[in-house]
Amino acid sequence: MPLLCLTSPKGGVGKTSLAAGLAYALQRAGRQVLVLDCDPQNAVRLHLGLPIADSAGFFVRLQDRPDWRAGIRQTPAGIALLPYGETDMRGALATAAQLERDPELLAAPLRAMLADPSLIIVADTPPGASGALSVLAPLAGVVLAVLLADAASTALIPDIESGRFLGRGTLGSLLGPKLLVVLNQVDRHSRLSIAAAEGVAAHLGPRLAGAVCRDEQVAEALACQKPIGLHAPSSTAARDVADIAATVLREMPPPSVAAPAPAPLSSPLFPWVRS
Amino acid sequence: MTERDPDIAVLATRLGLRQLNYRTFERPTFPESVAAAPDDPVEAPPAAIMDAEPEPAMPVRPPQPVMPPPMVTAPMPMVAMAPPIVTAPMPMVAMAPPMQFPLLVQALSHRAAPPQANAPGSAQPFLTLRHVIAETSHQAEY
Ligand SMILES: Nc1ncnc2c1ncn2[C@@H]1O[C@H](COP(=O)(O)OP(=O)(O)OP(=O)(O)O)[C@@H](O)[C@H]1O
Ligand SMILES: [Mg+2]
Repeated sequence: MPLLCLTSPKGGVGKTSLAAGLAYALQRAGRQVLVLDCDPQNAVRLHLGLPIADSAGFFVRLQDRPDWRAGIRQTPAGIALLPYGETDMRGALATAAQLERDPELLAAPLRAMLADPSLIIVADTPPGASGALSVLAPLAGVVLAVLLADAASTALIPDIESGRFLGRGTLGSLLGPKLLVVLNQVDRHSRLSIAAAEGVAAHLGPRLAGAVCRDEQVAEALACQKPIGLHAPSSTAARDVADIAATVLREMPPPSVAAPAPAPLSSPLFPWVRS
Repeated sequence: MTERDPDIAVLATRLGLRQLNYRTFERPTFPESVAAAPDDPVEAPPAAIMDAEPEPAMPVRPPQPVMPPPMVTAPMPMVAMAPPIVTAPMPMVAMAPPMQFPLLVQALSHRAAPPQANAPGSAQPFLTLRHVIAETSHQAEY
């Protein structure tokens, strides 16, 4: 299904930056993209140019079963976004608890979004295990686990490979979303970074979807409230992200035949269906 | 901390990090004479009095006469007793974030409202606890 889920067992590894960057790159590649922010940090909006004071959101109102179409925001970066919305710790915990009790609060609108074959949903998730991830993973075409090129992240490779991270034996692992890894902040001046990156690449083979270099432009892109491809299109990081977007498009499975998607065969956005 | 510290050596071995040669673990090896005098200033200011140097091969670098002898044990009191350094006020405090980073400007340009004073009881998780403890200790007095 055209759902790309950005996730990681670790925090601060670049999930949100890559979600924004990949959404932009996918849109540049001619796809129609909707970003879904499932993290109470509500940070995707900042990467896409919405002001800090903009508190409206979709996820924060999940228990009211809001109309997701009405919640879509057109951002200054030109990418459609369903922000998480502003909340506090108590609100975030309540939403998480409600989602755990009733996963359909998220699964139902998500299936409706995915029924539109012309759309690619890019979902950003909170670090580590979350109710959102457990709902998203079984519906995802590709789950991208973001890791840093360092020892702490490399130590988590067994968790990802074994399926523990996505819940071994659960529906998520049974349906088998394509779980790929992205290495972020690879620093070619760091011996450890290169050792980790080369080691992980050799170990994972084609399950490594790509790597993004450590690049100050990525951090500055957020400070300028733009995805990296818009902020510094010729930067190495922007090219890395565009490469990963191309890999994601290759790896994304075509919509299932059983899916109620209207006329997917005629969509010019899914060339693999026609071949 | 050096690689010779038993703790570091054990940790590095346990983590299998020996091949990685972290820079932190790498210390340049000095000849004993140099290593024995770590407190020598790297660049001494010009000396007023020239001492007779017994080793002609050494570069001319006489000890600074106004400097106190190097502290062997605890240099901290010197630091504490040093007069406050009077410098120009740090410009960082008053400086606004550069305009080319609009998110920084936005985030720092207005103050967020402080938390409400009359938060509901359940938002003050320690209040009940303190109350219970106070009750218990009060009862214990009797
Ligand atoms: N390739 C990169 N080069 C340099 N800085 C980067 C790179 N990728 C991310 N960063 C910086 O790292 C920090 C964390 O990034 P980001 O917020 O995207 O991580 P995250 O995984 O979403 O964090 P969280 O787990 O809190 O959601 C940010 O300051 C970001 O600008
Ligand atoms: Mg994030």
